[in-house]
Amino acid sequence: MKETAGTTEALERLRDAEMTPGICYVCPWTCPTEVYTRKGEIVYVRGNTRASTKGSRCVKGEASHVLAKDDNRLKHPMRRVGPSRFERITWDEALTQIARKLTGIKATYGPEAVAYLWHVDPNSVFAQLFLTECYGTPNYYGHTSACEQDRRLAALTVLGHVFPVHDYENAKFIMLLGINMLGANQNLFESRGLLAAVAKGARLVVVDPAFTATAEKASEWIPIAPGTDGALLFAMAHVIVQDKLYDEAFCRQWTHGFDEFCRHVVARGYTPEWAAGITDVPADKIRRLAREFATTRPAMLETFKGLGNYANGLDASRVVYILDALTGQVDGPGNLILKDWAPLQPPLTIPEARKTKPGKPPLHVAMGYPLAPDLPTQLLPKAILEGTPYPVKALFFQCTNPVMSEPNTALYRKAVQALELSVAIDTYFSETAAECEFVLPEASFYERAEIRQSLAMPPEAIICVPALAAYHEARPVYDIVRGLAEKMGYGDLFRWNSWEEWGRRIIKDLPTDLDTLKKTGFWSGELTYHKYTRTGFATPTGKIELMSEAFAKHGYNALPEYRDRQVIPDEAYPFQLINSKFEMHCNLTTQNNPILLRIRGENWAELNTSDAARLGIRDGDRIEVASPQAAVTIKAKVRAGIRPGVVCVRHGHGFGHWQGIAKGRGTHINPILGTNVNPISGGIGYNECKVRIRKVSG
Amino acid sequence: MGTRGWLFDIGKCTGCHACEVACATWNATGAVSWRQIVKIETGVYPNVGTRNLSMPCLHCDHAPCLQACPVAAITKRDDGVVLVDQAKCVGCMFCFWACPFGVPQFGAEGKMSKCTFCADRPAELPRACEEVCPTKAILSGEMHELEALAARSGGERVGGPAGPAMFVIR
Repeated sequence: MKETAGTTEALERLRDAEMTPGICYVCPWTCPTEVYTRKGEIVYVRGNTRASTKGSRCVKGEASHVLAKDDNRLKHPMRRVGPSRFERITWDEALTQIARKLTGIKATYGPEAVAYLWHVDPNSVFAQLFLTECYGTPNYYGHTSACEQDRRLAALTVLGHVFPVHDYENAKFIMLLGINMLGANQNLFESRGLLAAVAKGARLVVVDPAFTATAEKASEWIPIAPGTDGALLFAMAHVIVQDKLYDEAFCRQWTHGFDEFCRHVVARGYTPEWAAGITDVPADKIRRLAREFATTRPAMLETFKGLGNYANGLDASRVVYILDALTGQVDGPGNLILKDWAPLQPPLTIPEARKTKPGKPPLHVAMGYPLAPDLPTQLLPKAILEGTPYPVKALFFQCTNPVMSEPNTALYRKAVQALELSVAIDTYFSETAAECEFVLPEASFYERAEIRQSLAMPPEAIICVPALAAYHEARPVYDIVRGLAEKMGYGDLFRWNSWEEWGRRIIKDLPTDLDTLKKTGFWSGELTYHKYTRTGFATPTGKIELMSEAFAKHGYNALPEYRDRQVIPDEAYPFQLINSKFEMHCNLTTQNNPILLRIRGENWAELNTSDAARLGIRDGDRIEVASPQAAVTIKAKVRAGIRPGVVCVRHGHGFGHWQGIAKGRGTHINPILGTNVNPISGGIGYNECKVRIRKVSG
Repeated sequence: MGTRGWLFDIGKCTGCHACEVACATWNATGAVSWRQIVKIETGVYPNVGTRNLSMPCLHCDHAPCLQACPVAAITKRDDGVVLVDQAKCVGCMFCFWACPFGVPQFGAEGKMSKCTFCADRPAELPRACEEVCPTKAILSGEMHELEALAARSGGERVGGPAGPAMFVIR
């Protein structure tokens, strides 16, 4: 491999350009970058060559420089004056009116009636500090329930870690269930490590109803029956327990509930024969997988969003981590890594005397989901429309588009319309913005500053230095919040001459300084393994919890159990709908990108060759996909690499409201989905949908 | 200095198009792409397989495009890199018919353009496609070095009378 580190100056000379370290925020993986600009224009972008990305970029990140010049971006604040009608207003008018409404809502309903939602969270720590500490609402939330909510709660419950990462490169056996590491979910150093491991002869087993980009590279693809991964995992645990393939010394020292879990899987009869009937994976294959996993070192079992796309995904995800623990395969080389974080501080401190303490519990607790790591957003319309569990009257949407990205889009639209105050902060005009009262243009990641954690294996801090001047009137969230704070009597707490002032506060505990960071783009600490031997695990018992004390305390079953998914296909709706993302798109930011649209102009629904032949559907036909709730038409993709009886809709297109080049391309599937959430995590079951399909035209 | 070319690891390519976009950005290729990405799924369920291909110009030893060009717009540098002089190109597309790999591209102005091996990048720098590739499936270098690397993983040089300057690991 050619060394890319140290070639920055050469590229600067070749393009007469200046390199500015950045953070790509096209998706939540936040890869560190090098942005090359000349005379205020981007001429090239690559991954930070010294950080873990080693120069790499994903396709959507590499194409994202188009943002900087896209004429379809939001240019100035707007206020809604009628259905689909907006008028331009000044920042001062917008902030004054929003502040006045916030003051009124607080007086009438209490501060808890205000909530803030984000998908990606650049600088939203400023909004968090202002809203949760000054204004006094506990309701500051992200998008996790639409993403890896089950995986996150499982990792927190079992391992006491919010977001394990992966040392693929050193693994010799890797089994991935419902995670397409080489497709849409590219943590770039992990993609490289995974294929390096495969090249060195590691066994890669991919469990997924679709033959994904990761399955392409696997030693074995297991096209499991959708939503039944939990049964496969429990049966693997059964084999490991019966054959005593666990690492008993590790389990006795580092796990809680070892004996109880072993007795539980046997008593429940979670045998390979039982699982075979559910999963469509033969019992002897399950036995072989369990033995291979338990006897190969180092090994790793992992999931992400796939299991959580069903309402039974939480306990299935817990068993993923329980299996890693039973075999002692945690936080070592070739294992899941319970990463250390860089010692970053908040950009500013709110004095105790100026804080407002919320009078009500956070929404997720009041909704009856005390363990949910993020808001069960499918229940938000109920809070808005019915005042249950308590009224929500105002919402901020930062770079999030729930009117499009949540199931039940019609209900969500109605809910946003019913708010007394609704504010969209985004780079583009979203379906949600179209229903909001105020639309505020956000600076893109080429035009704003930020310092944050990276998702590399060692503790790592990354910095985004603004590479370009502001786009029209767009502002970073820190400036928007500062403006709001000034209008509401907190201006003295949100005051700085330049972003470097709060930047220095964030990194005050790092063994580096801001000038160095602004040149290199990142600070990386030492990668250490088996950190639990010094610190234990961040669970109630300090151990890996095979049996959860937190679950028991809240009246849930302390031990995981297998349950069927909620929606099962039947005669009228014979297909299971599943969802998957394209690697070309994430959220709204990529929708209007001409480079990405040239590569993939529209999305499609994939179905198996045999199903297509039976229904007279040919590749490229338009088909109707109908659930009991609604129907949409979409292009059909006929392929061998999908389990029969399954329709897989790929995401990334079908955004329709706004006037960009994305308009009218492809189909969004969420209007046909109903509300199905996990009863403990509140994670959204996007795959809990049965459909029928028919050809509409050739 | 020996002639230069590619080592492409099919086993590592995921068909993600990042190389194509990096190439288009570094080289400002406008409406055309100098890398063609192909994903082919084969087999019958459940025994399926995929081949991903990311195709640049292969800078052939005996470049058929160069031989076919009636106005001598195509030349081959000492390091093996095949370049087209757009000022001389008349847009006749003979190169397109001659190329066994469909490499030459024709934009709105009708002139041929194609991968220049990032002509302005010194040899010690990676090509744009190579440096952004998430899985490091693309490697550029001198052919004798690449041959040794390819041999270690059972790779072979792409065959044919044109002598394409690319080794492939399957």
